[in-house]
Amino acid sequence: MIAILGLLLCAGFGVRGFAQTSGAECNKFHKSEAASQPATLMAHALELPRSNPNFAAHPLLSYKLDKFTYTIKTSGHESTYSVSDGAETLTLPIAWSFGAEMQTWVLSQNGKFYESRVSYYPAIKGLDITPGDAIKAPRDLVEAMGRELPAQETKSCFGCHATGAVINDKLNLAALKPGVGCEHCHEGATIHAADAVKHNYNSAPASLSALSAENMSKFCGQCHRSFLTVASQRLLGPTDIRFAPFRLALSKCFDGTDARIRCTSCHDPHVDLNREIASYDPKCLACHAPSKKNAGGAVHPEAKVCTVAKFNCAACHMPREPRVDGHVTFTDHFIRVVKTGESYPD
Amino acid sequence: MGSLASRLRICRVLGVCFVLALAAGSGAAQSDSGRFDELAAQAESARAANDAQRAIALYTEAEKLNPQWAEGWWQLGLLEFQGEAYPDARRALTRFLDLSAAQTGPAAQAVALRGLCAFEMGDYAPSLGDLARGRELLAASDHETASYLHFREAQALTQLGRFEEALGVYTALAKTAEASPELKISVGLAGLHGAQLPGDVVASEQPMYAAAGDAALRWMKGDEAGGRQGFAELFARYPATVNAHYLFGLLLLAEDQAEAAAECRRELEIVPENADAAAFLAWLLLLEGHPEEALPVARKAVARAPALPRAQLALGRALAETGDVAGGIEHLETALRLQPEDVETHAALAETYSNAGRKADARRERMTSLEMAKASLAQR
Repeated sequence: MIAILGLLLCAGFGVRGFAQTSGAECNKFHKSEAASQPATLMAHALELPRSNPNFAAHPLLSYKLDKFTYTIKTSGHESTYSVSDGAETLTLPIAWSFGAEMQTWVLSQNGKFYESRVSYYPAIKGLDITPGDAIKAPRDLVEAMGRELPAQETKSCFGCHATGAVINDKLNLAALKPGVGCEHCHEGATIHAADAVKHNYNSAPASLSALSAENMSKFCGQCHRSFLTVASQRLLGPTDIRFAPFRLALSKCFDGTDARIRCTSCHDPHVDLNREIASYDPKCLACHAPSKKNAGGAVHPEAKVCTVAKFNCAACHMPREPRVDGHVTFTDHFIRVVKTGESYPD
Repeated sequence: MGSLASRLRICRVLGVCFVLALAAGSGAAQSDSGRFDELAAQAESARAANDAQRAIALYTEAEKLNPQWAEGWWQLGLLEFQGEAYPDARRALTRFLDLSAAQTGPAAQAVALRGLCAFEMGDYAPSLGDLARGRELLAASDHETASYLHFREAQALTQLGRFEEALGVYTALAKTAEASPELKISVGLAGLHGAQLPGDVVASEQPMYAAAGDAALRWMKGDEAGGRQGFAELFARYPATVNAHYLFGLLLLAEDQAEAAAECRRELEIVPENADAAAFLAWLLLLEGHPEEALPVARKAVARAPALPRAQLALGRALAETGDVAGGIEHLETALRLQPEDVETHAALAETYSNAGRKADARRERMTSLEMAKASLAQR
């Protein structure tokens, strides 16, 4: 059984191979983006041991699950993941922490990669089972350590959470830069950076701002999961709340040719996530504001004007749903009129 | 619409007619009831004495007197099946199932047997429904028979040229099934696109199909090293075999798409006209995010096999993803006509309609693909 975390985190089917540029090179010409992007969650989608704030804050984490005891121990810049059944203990170094907030570790042993069976959850400041891994009871210490990842899934995980990890469709861990950097989205940025210092701007990567709403959902959906990916791979169920492009496409207001409903209309990937709900109101009102021309109607001919409230639109129309035993909460991007007591619309 | 009173009157008349019809039926049976009881008892005795020919004749006579006798049709179906008289068995089992409301016990077995009758008659498409239904009904109570029905499903799919679906069934079976010579050849036939039954394979070709099946089965069982070794041996012994590299590519899909694509390229070096491999390669390139590379490959696949749904799907997606939305829609709609139940085609069409500004069409296709995806999840 494929663990759900793999489904949640590791899409990346379309993530291309590339060499990488550093933010510093981009900083010369794109000062604003290069200054703010490193602080974003996406920039920290993968942490190396030395830079992992969770390890610094919690040098010793422990958790008991069935007959197994898990220990995450940090000493200096080294962190280890141990699992013990009381008789034997398996200890592996942690090289890669996936996730900027909730973290799951990818472990390596004998040339194989494993998704850790337990993860770190900020809500409880501790460990619990990795989503989806409760389905299968481990038969031995290796299975208790984690779920073996197929090569394709490993490539997808690193492809989305790091920059430069996949070159020519091959995993290349020696070259990876943790997190989402410039070249992750702007393919060809390295060549462009080299050319730009010589005042040659012909090699500039294709502008993503020209993408339609549908194509932007597909682009971001390479990692965050597009409608096509979720439907064709049947990644349906309560955990599909994580797949924002998929959920957005379910909304009646989603129009593939209307730039007002594009991912970047609400989320600038170069700045950290804005958690202030009211800050998104102008985005909704770009269509749903009362129209001066159309008495009683909205700016967009198909849109309605909300009769209940004038602010905090997302609080009602994009409810936040707890998942993973309540340890993590997600905003549902399926924009809708939420009925009282309705179950999660899948 | 009539009034409530007039509708009640019609119901009463229909009810009287129904009662009269019942009375006529039972009256007719009653006049022959002595003879019927006698024939039924004799048929049962002949069956108990293993005199199948006589039992069949007696059950047939008894059914002429009382065609509503479900037990008789069931026994007749069983006896005809045991005697390999599959058309007669199929008819008798159909009569039994028409009369039987239950879905358990003999009815579950009757569905399975009727599917096997159709299979033995070479009626592969109609056999699939009964084989699958019988497998579902018997899965909890008779795992062995359910596995056998699943195996026959895979063979029927192979005979119908639905090779990838057959491989999917074999993948499910491989976890528990013993790798018998018949299973190996069957898997080899599905993998190398031989629409035959193992018994029909000429002796000189059996080792090749067995080698392909053995390699594939090892892979399906999770023995990656054994599977790789098996395929290496297959490629060395039968270097020009059509679909061998394509088969390995299909199996590699879940493990490594780039490696799967490499196997497809090898297949196309050996058999450039292999449209299945070209369509699969184009589709893999789309998954890997290379629509420009996928486009010429998909064009070739469609040129060679315009009725191949995956080729049309890949070309439609490649066109749409490289900016030719109208061309993409044309080929995706063709793909949908060829394979109306394919979730991916509906979803791809939804995204492409959306890009074309056809919001209502996009929404319809999104909802259709979602409903289909949910239904297929519920069946798993």
